[in-house]
Amino acid sequence: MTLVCMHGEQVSELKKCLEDRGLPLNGLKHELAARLKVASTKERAKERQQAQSAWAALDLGDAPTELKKRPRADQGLDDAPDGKRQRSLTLPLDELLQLFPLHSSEVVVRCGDRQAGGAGAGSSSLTVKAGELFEVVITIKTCFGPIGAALSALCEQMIKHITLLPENVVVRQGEPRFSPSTGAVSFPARIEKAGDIEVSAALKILSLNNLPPNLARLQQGGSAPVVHTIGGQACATHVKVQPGAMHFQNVIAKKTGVPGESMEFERGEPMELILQLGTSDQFGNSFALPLSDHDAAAFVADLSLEGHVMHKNALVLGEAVPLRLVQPICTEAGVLVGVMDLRVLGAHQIRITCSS
Amino acid sequence: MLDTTVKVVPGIPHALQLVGEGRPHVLRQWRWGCKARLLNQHGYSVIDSADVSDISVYLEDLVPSVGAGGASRSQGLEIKILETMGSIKGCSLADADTATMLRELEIFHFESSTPTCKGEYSLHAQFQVNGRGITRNLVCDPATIHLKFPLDPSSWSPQHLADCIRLGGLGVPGDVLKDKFGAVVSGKDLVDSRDAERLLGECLLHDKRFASRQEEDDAHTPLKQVAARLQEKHTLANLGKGKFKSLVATCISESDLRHVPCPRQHAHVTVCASLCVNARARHAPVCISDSLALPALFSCMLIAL
Repeated sequence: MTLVCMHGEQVSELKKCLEDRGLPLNGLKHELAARLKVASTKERAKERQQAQSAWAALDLGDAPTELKKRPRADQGLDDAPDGKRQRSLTLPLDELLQLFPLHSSEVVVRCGDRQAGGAGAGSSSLTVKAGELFEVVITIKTCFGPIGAALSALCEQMIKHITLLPENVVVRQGEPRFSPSTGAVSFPARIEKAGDIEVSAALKILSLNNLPPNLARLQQGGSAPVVHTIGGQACATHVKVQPGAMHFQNVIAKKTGVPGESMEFERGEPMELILQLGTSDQFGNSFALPLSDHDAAAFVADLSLEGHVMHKNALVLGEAVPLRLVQPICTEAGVLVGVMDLRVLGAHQIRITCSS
Repeated sequence: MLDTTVKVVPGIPHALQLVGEGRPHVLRQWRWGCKARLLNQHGYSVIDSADVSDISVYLEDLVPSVGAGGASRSQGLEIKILETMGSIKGCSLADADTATMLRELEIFHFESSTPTCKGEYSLHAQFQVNGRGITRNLVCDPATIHLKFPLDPSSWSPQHLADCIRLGGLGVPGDVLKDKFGAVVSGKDLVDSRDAERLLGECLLHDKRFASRQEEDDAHTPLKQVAARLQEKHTLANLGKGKFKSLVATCISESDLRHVPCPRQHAHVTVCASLCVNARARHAPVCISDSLALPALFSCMLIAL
């Protein structure tokens, strides 16, 4: 169960909203009474204080006995007179969302300078690579407009309940950032699965209203969450996810003019070292092979290669000898990184380390 | 990190390449001998895998002799493997050297009792594939070798003798040497003669008239040198026929002793010979300078004998 603490202007705004919607101010009376019971324990003294403030702010009449109790100094609470105490209201998030239903909230995806979705974006689709980090920027709007600085406390509570959709496809990375000036929340995220993904978000809140904490615990897991969609069908934001970084699957030694890998070479026979591209990225997304000349050239241009050869003859215990590899060249068989010949009999281990 | 393992094998013999010039080794009774490499098609040694018994190397007359009915005759050559430890660049794309066993062949033509004729021969080599009777010709480089005179002058024909004397700068009237009785003189006649210088004088100077004693003495001086050389060669050749086996035999060749013209300069050559005189249990390491080579060698040999 979530309680939202509202202060000063927020309480005034809430009262105004209730009046605008024709709702009686005492509509929250029962709720506050329930909060009071919950807050009657020593540990929940702060909540009790908040409930007292809300009761007074809403002019709900005589407060219940519990609300009249003053907090004790040893509980670390403010002992100032009521008139000077900051007015605040604690409400469950789901009830606040009933009061302030989400309305045409925006979901924008951004990767560097590119972005898609939202009112100002030039495109409804953003292309990223699998595993590439991008941002999902969510601007939550109620029927009264974007949540601004006045309701930032509400927004900060909401952030904890925001789920990026499709769930388990959009993977959140790191902590979200909230901008009080715009009311936008930015979630670093990435997608590992290639495809055309429609990104949206939702607020998922467990509905455990009016239950004491011990019963709420019992109900956990059995209650379907209340889902408030953000973005979605109407303002769908598409992310086109391409397969991620290419990587080499293996290195093969090949005889010139002979297709396929060779394991045995004559002394001095030219040996081509070929790096073979994997058919999928590290997340299992398949590439369209063969690569275009442009893609291939771009890929090999950034490669940094190191090679070593180690003789495994019993007479000469293996010492890795660095190889002078050539500039990678794309061939039909793969990426050619060296043509060499070996002159010492026996087994040789050739090791290539790639980085880009 | 990606890795693969490859195996390097010697490959199939493809060519026989001589290393340096072939030359005779008198004390080893090699009419001709030369180091050689057996190479695969990529130009690297394959001696590791090739069984020497699968290789046959032979000489064939370039000009078939009339006496053989027009058919060319083959002279088989013998093969030995020389092994040394050395270092090679193990990979063309790496700078490091790798220590390994280096193997070379030594091919030679052993002098038989009926020496092969002097002249040019074509060198042939064959490789028997996996001992299955299928033979494959190897490329020989160079393909032609030149056999010089037989090692022992006593086996020289009259023609050989005349050619050798001409090479020494003396004029020979006619094709061959003839004594004052008109008999043709061969190498054996000269070696067996008690006074080779006199016999040479008969053959070469019998028609000449000298104006003074000095002139006659001057004309005999080169004959004396030629006679002495022939006797020395005969002695060495006989020593090489089984009695004398020592490190000297492996070090000294006919060209080292200046018995045949050698293309290389020998001005600074020092022949170091350890002559082990096993017969008399005497060990006399001897250092022989080039200028003193023959006299010193003879001294050693006399001790040995």
